[in-house]
Amino acid sequence: MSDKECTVFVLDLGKDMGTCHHGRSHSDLEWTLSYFHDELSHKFLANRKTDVVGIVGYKCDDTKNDLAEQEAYWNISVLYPIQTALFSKLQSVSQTLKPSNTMQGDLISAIVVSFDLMARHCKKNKWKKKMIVLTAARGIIDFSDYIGIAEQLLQHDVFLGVYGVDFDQEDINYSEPLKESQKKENEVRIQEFVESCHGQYCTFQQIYNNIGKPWVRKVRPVAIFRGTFSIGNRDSKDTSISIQVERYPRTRLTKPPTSSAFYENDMSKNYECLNIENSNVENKSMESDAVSTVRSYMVRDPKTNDSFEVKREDLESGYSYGRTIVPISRSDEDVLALDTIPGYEILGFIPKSSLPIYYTISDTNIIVPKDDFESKLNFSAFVQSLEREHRYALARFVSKDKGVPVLLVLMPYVEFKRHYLVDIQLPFAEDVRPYSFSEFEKLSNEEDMRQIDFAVSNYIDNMDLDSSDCGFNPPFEPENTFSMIPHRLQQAISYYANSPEGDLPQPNIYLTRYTNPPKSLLDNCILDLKLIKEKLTVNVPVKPKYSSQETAFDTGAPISEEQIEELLNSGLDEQEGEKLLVLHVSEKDPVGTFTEVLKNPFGLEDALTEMEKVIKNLIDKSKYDLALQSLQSLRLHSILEDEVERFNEYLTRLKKDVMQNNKPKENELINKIRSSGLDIILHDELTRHDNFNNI
Amino acid sequence: MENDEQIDETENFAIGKYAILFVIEVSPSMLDPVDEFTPSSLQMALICAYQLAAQRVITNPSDIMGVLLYGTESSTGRFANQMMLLDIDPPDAERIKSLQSFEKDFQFSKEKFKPCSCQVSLSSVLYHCSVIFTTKAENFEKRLFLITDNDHPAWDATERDIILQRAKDLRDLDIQVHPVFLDPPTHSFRINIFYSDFLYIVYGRQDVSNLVNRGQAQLQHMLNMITALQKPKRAHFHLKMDLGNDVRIGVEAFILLKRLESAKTNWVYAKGERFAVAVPQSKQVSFATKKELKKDEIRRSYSYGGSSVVFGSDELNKVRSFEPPTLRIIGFRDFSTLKPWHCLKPAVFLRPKDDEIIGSGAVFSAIHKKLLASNKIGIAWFVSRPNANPCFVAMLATPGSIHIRDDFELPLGIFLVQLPTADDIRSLPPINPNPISMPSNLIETMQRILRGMELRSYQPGKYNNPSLQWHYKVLQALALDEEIPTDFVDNTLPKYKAIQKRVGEYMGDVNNIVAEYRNDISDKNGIKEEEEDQGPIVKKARIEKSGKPIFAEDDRLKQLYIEGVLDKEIKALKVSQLKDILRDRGLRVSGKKADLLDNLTNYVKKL
Repeated sequence: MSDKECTVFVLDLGKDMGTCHHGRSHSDLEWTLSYFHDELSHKFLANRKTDVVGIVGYKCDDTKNDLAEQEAYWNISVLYPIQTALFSKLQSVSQTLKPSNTMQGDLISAIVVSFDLMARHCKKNKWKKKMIVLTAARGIIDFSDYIGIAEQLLQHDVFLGVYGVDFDQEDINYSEPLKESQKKENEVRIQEFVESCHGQYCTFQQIYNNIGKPWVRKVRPVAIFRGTFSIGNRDSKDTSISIQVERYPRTRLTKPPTSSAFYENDMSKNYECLNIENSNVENKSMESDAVSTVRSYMVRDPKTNDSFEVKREDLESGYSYGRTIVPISRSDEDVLALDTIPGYEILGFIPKSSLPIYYTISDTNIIVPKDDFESKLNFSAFVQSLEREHRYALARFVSKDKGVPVLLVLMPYVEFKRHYLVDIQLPFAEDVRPYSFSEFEKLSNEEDMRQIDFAVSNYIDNMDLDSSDCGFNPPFEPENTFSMIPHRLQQAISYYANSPEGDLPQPNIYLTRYTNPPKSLLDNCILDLKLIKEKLTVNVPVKPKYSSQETAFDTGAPISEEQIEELLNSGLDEQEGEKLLVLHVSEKDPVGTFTEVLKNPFGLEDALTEMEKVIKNLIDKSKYDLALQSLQSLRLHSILEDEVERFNEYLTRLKKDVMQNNKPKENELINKIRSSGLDIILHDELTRHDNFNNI
Repeated sequence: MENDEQIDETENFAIGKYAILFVIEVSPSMLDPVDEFTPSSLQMALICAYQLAAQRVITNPSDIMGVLLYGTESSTGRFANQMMLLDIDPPDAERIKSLQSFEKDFQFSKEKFKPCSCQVSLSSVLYHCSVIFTTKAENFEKRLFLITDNDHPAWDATERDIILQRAKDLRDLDIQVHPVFLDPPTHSFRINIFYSDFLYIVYGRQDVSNLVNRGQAQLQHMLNMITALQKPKRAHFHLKMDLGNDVRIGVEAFILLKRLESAKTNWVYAKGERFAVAVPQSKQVSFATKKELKKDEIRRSYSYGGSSVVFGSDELNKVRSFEPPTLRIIGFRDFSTLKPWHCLKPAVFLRPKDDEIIGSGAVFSAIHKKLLASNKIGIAWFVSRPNANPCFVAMLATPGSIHIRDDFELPLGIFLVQLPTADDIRSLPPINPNPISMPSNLIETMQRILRGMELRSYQPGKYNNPSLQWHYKVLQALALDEEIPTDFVDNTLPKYKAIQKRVGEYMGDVNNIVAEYRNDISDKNGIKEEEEDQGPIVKKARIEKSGKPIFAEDDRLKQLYIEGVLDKEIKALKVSQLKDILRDRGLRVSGKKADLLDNLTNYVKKL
């Protein structure tokens, strides 16, 4: 059962809302609508069909509601009946939200109309019901029957929030200057009304301060494991302890919003639907332009060297045992799985201080006991014992029958005086990668070393994020940070939906507020950082980044005299001036410039495309040796950058073109390509690289 | 340790491919069994070669391996009295089987290894090795394991000089020689007669006696030595660490601890003459026209309140890019501010890199030292590569002298632990885990259990991944046509007997305390039940129909089954009740009601 939410916005559209007050450059209505749009934006991004919205305006020029037979309900309009929040429809409604020419229309009556909408839509089902009132509370309000209405709201569990323009609020010490007496009286009585139904009464300034804060999607806790937690052999019940537990996610990497692929078919760059009729028509056309992925399986016949397609059902899983492939049919695949029993089993207990946080290799989960008497007793005693003994538990965990065992550390975790366990995965022996490192390189001068140590020590002492000098507000905590790409993407989606042709704004200040060190702390370290900088020497590298790997692939062919001259000339070029940022692959030095372009951010596509052209041009100019070197470099980096298919397609096309020319030297070139090991990249070679990368 | 230094001295640009050649002498003493229970030295050497091949065929399939015997009566190729038992090639199942036969049926193979009567020139053997390496393993990292119990291979001064010259040639060819000296039956192996000069050449040092393996038992450690010699060298990525005010140092990043997955699955087409690998290919086509699409024709759309917002790939790249790869220090905090459960991923390990900014090592060393001394962590903004999701990381300095594995000490450096954001931290489940009340001695008894099961620390090297080990054992058995092993040892299982012996009594106490406490609660509930008896009869009947108390006992279920009314009774239960009954017995609770009924019925049949 998902959480169903129903929100009705009650908007004050009176004539007075069109004016500015207290030095603000925007009108009261514009001000309150900024919150309204922010809330709607969150709902649009969530895309939940069970999150429904209604909009009721009051002090309108016209009347449009089901209770309009009575005069008390005039000048109230239902602008958006309760339904799923649809951007196209609500955008149309938003454009009609303008101040009216009247001050007629009662706030309490509007609340009654909203309540009636909710009652009809939600009936007796479980809904989270919210009513948000945005008003300035000017003019006459009829409070004669508010007690009965408050009781109704309480009885039906409706949350009422009234956010008022320039409302007085004692707890934040705000009081509107020169407030007219009618407004003052209205505010007092609205506050009584809201408090009597346990709602929220707020001056709009406070609400406004939270607009733009990234919206954190609340994921409902769902158990990912239910089963047994045991100490000792669970088969001997007298001398072992078994606890029924449930496991829930605690930390998980946030993923960006999901997208679907379709292809451009005479559509505008940023597409949006503006009204209902167009929405239906264009949505249909969008479906027909959807993109689907077709997968096929190709097998090469070793005799004829042709490839043919085979069906998915004719394939078996194959595992590599060196160069031998061991096919395992679907029915036999069970043999590869270890026979295991699900549950947690405790191996022992280690001191807290003996496990550094960087040993852990996964996200975290939280463990709670099942909701029964014995489980809670045993579980709570276990957690409190860990706390008192300052220990973590080591556990072996299997999530399902024949599942993969993992080793976990179980940490006691107390929040709001409740006792939980948190579990995190630990590495096995096979997961350790035994790199060997030499000692840190040191400067030859002892005095320089001492000065650096002193400067770095001061630097670290002065850059204290928890000192009062630090300018971060609120202070840095992981809970005050946000996942960058998902929120940036949401910002872009919201922005382009409303402004298809606009330029993307800067990232949200909430995302970037901690990404630079505080200036106030850096100012304390100017001398120390200056000293450190003086001890460092920038050394321009002579070799390109991949030179060592290229050496491994060197065919050992002798260098021609032309190449020697070119190397000497390129050396002269380097001496003449500083090194510039390389943006293009040149025919003069294709390998060097190719590797440089690869280093640029987003340089892969440019590098590959231009290198392909350069190789073709070199062949046309009969510079075969240089073309071969370039092809070799392109081939290597295609492997490293996972562009194997692209390289194979390119090489096939290249050989076909060369064959068509039918020149004797170019035919010889094709033979050289084969004999030099520069032919199409085979699967075996990829496997070798993959295994190397996985070491 | 000195081996590590030697590896560092010879900077390898190879991508990690090794060529390994076992060179084993055949002589009467090598063929004699050491004693009643120990096989001969030659057989043990071959067993080691087999085990190494079986191991590396999985972990390093791009390596090549060979076995050369010298001193044999018969010959392969043009070198007299030298037999190429296994050509230097990538190992595969057939070749490993042939090696394995020497382990299983050595007596039958012994005829092949008849030693020759004449003296064999070690210089000729070493020359043969250099020919093998230069013709078949030019671009590999070359290792030669010389296994012999003959401590005087040179019969005169001339032959001695020739052998030493060959040793120099091997060194010049970047062939690493690792001798394994075995004791002949009559005496301990004497290095000083000849091999001290030999070792001086191949190791470049005078006193290398501690590096030389001696005795038959050392063959068992050859695998560890060979494995230890092999270390990954490739950095994850390189970037600059920004200290502020335009001060930067060079660093490189590694992943030291990451889950090792089993070998990648390929698809195999089994209906041809031989097994062939099927390569999957993907195409993106228009759903309507089935036409294949190019990359620039495809756009991504996001749903926004039922409408679509469309992006081209260029626009998406702009949205995703914040800044170039960087590691920028924001500030420092006390270590206590770091919560141990703020984890998301394996940590990234940092080392300084001096080649572009000289002095980076000194500054890095100073930061490392200060963080340890003052018990602080750094907070940094981290963009690891273009289009990566930027994040905040905690910087933790590693102290020295911590062994993760027996052969690997945690290196000095700084770990980057990615910190979770508000989005990454999930809500707590709504269940209140605390009991209403608790007996006073329960926690104390539980503490005794903790003290009785104390472990000094967690060392990853002590636990093997059982799933991975089993996978490889079965795969090897299938490839070599052996039976599936039945003696698999899983060292991640708890030590039940030790636990029973130490704390079984206390666990019994815990169970008794809980049971007594429940009885106390039940007595109070019993009083309530007596009061309720005076109430309406309808309430009592409803309690009886709830179902759970009736089906709580297996005996009752068995009786219903015997009476033939079990199906009828359990069919009347609700799904949630069925799930409770099944879960209490550790049975599966997934599927529809019919599946649940089947599970329960099958369970009762087995009682």
